[in-house]
Amino acid sequence: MEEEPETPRPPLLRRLAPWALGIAVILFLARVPYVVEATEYAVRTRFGRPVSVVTTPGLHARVPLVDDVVRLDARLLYFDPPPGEFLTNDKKNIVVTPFVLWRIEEPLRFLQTLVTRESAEARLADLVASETGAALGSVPFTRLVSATAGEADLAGVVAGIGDRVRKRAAADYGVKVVDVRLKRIAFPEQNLFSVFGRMRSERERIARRFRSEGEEAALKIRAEADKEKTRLLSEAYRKAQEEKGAGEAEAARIYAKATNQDPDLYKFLRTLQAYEKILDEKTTLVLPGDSDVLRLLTDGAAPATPTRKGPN
Amino acid sequence: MSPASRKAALAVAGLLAAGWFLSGIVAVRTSQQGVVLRLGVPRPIPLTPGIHWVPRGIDRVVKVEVTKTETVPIGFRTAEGGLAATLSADEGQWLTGDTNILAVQLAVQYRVAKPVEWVVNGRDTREQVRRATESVVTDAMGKLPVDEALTAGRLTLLEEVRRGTQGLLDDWQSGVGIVSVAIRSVDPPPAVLAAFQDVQNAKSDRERFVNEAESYANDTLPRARGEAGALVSSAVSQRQRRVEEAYGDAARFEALRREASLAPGPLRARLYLETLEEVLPRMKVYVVDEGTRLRLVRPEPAGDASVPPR
Repeated sequence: MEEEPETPRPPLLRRLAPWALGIAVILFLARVPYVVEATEYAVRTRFGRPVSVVTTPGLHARVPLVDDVVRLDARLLYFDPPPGEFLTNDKKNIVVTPFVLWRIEEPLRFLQTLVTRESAEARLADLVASETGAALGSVPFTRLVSATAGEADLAGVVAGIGDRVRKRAAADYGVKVVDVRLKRIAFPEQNLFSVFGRMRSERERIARRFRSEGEEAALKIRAEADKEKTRLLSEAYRKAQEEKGAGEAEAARIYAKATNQDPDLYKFLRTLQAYEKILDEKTTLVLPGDSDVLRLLTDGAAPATPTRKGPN
Repeated sequence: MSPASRKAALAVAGLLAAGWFLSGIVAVRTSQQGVVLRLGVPRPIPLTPGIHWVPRGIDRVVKVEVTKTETVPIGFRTAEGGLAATLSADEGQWLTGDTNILAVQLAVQYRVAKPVEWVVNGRDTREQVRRATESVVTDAMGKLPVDEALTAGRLTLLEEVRRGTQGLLDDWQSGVGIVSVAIRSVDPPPAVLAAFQDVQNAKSDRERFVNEAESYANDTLPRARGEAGALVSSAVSQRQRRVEEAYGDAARFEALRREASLAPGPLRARLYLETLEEVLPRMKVYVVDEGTRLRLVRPEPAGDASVPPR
């Protein structure tokens, strides 16, 4: 824009108009490009009517003032449906607490059917509940929880639920269900009492078994020890008796060998010896006045041989 | 345009350019990585720690803490978590494979392992880690018998939780890496704790019974061995004594016999009297004269000095 010094100065409005126009054009053009980040989707609407959907991040164009851009979160969202009580096909009541990971996949359909995260979650809760009920109702309890190796396949059952929820959510709501899993499997509150009772009696059974095992082992050890003791003592007794017998036999042989030389003398000596032992302080001896021992006292002469002696 | 206003315009443009340039300077700290979103599209290589320049308006830098670990408590609450101090009724309780109920407490530590993935997908990371872990524990506990879960199975559980949780987080492309999983405790619920403890008592009772029996055996057997040994050796010594005595007696007899064969009468008389000498003094002796034997039964003791009054 050049100034014309000859012409009279135009009014202020006319002088600024081109500037204003220029600025307006620049602002208008600056509003044309818009950035869609990787964490979001954009839906361009013209007077409220969607005209295009942007799911690839980058620079995009719109008509300013006319077009509106609605952004939606493209990231992974989690959602906890309320716990539900279900019946397995062997009529066991269980309470499962699922959770869902999902993201918006078709922004347009999402906007048309669900609009907000809250309504999406409400639909997902219904979907998960019905699919979980169907899946759990067709398997026995032991497919979910079992200590037998290879019997439980919770992951498999849950994957089945996830697949069906995923299909229905994609078809109906433009939502991608990334994963459905169970945070918890539990028995209903009113069953807990009997479960605890069963646990307790099971423990009591185990405790009793341990104690009886201990008693059994202890009895065995004691009996074994007693048996060994009896064996030791009886063997020792046998050996001792053998020794004693042998000693007596040997002694008898020695005596016999010696006494056979003069049995009469032996009998005499042995009798005397026996007297020494037999006759003690408790013995009362009654001697007749004319006994050999006293004969010297009375007769003044010793007998040639003892004739009678006799303890009473 | 006058030269003055041209200058002013240039100066303003220069200042704006300088401001734009300066605003593009980004400092990434050592604990961080900077993920660059160029027109919203993440660049594959994040900025390393240091000073960087990015064209502002085109690039946006998201700084991600990559060394900081976060801890998620599961089955218990920490004060710092700022959550309710108490657990809901069944939180932290799991069914074992044999349908017992156990309370498990574990702490999972995670950090951002793939910053780009995390910037694109990461949201509610903490809650996702919690849910992933809980579902893996549900799965793993449902295969363990209760006795195993309380003892050796903890290792299995730990390994499975770590592997399973990381697997889920990878599947979800959350960009999160599990640093560690620690099992704080695996306990029976309070309602049945006493019964479980009694099993432990019973186990030690079993040991005790056996130990007591063994100490009985250890006490009895040496005693019996000693007794047996004493019995035998006393018999041996008895035998020895009998034999030696027999030899002694035989020798004495032999000697007497030899003597007796020379003078049988006197010897016999001497021996007889010697024995009487030995024997008579310690006995009560009544001398009974012919015809007066009834003195024995009289109440008064005889005048004999050797008879005690009685």
